[in-house]
Amino acid sequence: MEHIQIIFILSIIFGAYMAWNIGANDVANAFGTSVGSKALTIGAAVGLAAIFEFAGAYFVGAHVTETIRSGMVDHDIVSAEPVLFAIGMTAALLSAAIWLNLASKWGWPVSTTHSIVGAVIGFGLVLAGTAAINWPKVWQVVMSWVISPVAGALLSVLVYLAFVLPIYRSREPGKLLRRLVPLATGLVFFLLTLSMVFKGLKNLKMNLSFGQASLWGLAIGLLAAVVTYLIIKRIPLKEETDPVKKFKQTEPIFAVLQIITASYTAFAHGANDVANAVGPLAAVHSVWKAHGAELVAKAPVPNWILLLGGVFIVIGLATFGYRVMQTIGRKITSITPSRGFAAEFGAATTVLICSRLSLPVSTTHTLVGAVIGVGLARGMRSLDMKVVRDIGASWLYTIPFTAVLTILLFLGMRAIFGA
Amino acid sequence: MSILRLFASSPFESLQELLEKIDVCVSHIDPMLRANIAADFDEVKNHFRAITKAEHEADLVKGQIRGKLPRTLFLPIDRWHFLEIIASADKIADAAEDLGYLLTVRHTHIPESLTGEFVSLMEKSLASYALIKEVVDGFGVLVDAGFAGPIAEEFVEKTVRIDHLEWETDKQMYKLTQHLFELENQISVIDIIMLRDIAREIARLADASESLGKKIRRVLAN
Repeated sequence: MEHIQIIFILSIIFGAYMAWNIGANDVANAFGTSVGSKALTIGAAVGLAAIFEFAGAYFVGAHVTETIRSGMVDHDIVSAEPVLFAIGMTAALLSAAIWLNLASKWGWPVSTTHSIVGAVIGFGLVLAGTAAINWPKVWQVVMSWVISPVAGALLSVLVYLAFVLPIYRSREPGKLLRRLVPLATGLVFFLLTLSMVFKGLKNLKMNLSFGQASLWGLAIGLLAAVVTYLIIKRIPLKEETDPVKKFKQTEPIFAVLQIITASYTAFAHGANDVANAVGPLAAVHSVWKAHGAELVAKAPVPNWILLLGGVFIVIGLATFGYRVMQTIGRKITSITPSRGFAAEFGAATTVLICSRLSLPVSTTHTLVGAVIGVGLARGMRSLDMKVVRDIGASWLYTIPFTAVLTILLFLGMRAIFGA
Repeated sequence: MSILRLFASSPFESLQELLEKIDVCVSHIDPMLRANIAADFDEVKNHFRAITKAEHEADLVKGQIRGKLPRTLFLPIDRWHFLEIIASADKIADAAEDLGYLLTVRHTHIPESLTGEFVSLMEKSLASYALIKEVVDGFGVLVDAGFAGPIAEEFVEKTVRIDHLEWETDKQMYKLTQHLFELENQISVIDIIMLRDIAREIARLADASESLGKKIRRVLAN
C-alpha cells in the first residue's frame, strides 16, 4: 500500500474519533436542561439533537471545514509537499484528540476548535516556519474567538430585554408568551433555513441568491410559527390573580421554547464544530485524490466527508452523549427554560453567523459569554465567575500544547513513513 | 460539561431550604401554646425539643449559604442585602425557640380569663408569618423579574400588609398586658412577669416577619 493511502485511512479513523468525541461530550450541553426539566424524554432529546446536529453539519459544515482544511496554512507552500501536508494534518487531528481527552479527564473547559486550530498552526510552523502560516486568516480566527463571546453576550442581552423581561413584567405573561413563542420559533427556522439554502445547497445542485433564500426562509419560518402556535394553544392557562402563580403557569410554554432553542443550538454547533473533526480529513483527502499531482486549490469539500462527520457525531451522541445528558439533567442548575432561552438563542445565532463566515469559533465559549451577558442584565440567579478565569487559562494552555504536540507527532510520523 | 460550573448552585434556592427549616419551628408554636393552656407540660417540652432541633438545622443551612457566597459568585442582588435577609429570616426561628424556652423553663399556667387573648395574639402573629412565607416562596421569581413589574408590586403590597398586621399585633399585646396587670392581686408576680414575657415573645414573631419584609423591600427599592 502506498503511504498516502495509509495516511488517508488513519485520518479517516482519527476524524471519525474526533467527531465521536464531539458528539459524546459537546452536544449534551444544549439538551441536558430540557431533559432535567422533564420537557423531553432522554430518547426524544437524543433524537432531536441527532437530527439538528446532523443537519447543521451536513448542510452548513462545509464553510468552516474549508477554513480548517486550507485557510490557515499557505497553499503554495503545502502543495509543493503534498504528502508532508497530509501527514501534518493527520498529526494535527491526533494531537487535538489527545489534548481533548486529557483536558476532559482533568475537567478543564478547553475548546475543540481552539485545539484543532492550534494543532494546524503547529504543523504549519514545523513544515515551513512562520512563512507557512496564513497570518491574516489566523488573526481573523483569533479575533473571532474574542468577538464571538462578546457578540453572543450582546445578542443575548438584546433578546433578554426585548423578549424575556417583558414577559416577567407583563400582567398577562401567559397570553404574551403564547404570542411571542411562535414568533421566536418562526425566527429560528427562518435563520436555520437561510443559513442552509443561501448558496449552501451545492450538494443538492441548488445555488440560491439571498433574495430566493430569504423567501424560502420566510416560508419555512411561517410554517414553523403556525405549527408552534397550534401546539401551545393546547397548553391550558387557568385564571389566576396572584402574579407569581400566574407566572409559574408559563413554565410549560417556556419548555416548548426551550426545546426549539436547544435544537437551534445543536444545529449551530453541528455547523461549526463538524469542521474540527473533518477539516483535516478533507485536507488529507484532497492530497490522496490528487495522487501526487498538484493540489487543486478550490475543490469543494466532498459530501461524504461531511456525512461521515455528521454520522459519527450522532453515534457519539447515541453511545455516550445520552449519559452526559442524563448527568446534566439530574443536576439542579439555575438555567431554567425562561432564563436559558435568551442565552442559548444569542449564542446559537452568533455561532451560526460565524459558521457562514467560515470562522471556526468555540460554541461553549460563546454560550458562556451569552450566559454572563444575561447574568449582568440580572437575568440569571447566580453565576460562578471562576469559570471565566479557567477558560482564560485554557486558552493559554490549549494552543501551545496542541501546536507542540502536533510538531512532535509530525516528526515521528514523518520518520515512520520515511517521507 | 464544564460550562455547567458557571451555574453555581443558587443561594436563592438555599434560602428556600432555610425557610423550610424555619417553617418547622413556627409550625410548633400553635400546638405548643395550646398544650400549655391545657397544662400538658410534657407535650410543651416535646414541641420545644422539636423546635430546638429544627432551629439547629436552620443554623446549619445558614452556614452553608454563607459558605456558598465566594467572591467569584455573581448575584443579581447586593451580597450584603442577601446576607441581611438570611440573618433576618433566622430571627423568626429564634423567636419560636425563645418562646419554647419561656414555656418550658418554668411551668406557667395561663389564667382562663386570658387564654382567648393569648390564642388570638398568636394567630395574629402567625398571620404575619404566613404572609412573609408567601413572599419568600416567590422570591426566586421576583429575582427573575428583576425586582420590577406586577410581581414586584404584589410583593410590596404584601410587605405593607405585614407592617399593618404587626401594628395590630402590638396593639393586641398592649391590651393583653393591661388585662394581665389587672390580675396583679390574684396571681403571683412571677406569673405576671412570665406571662408578659410570653406575650412579648409571641409578638416578636410578627416583629421578625415585619423586619424580614422590610429587608426584602429594601432590595426592591434598589
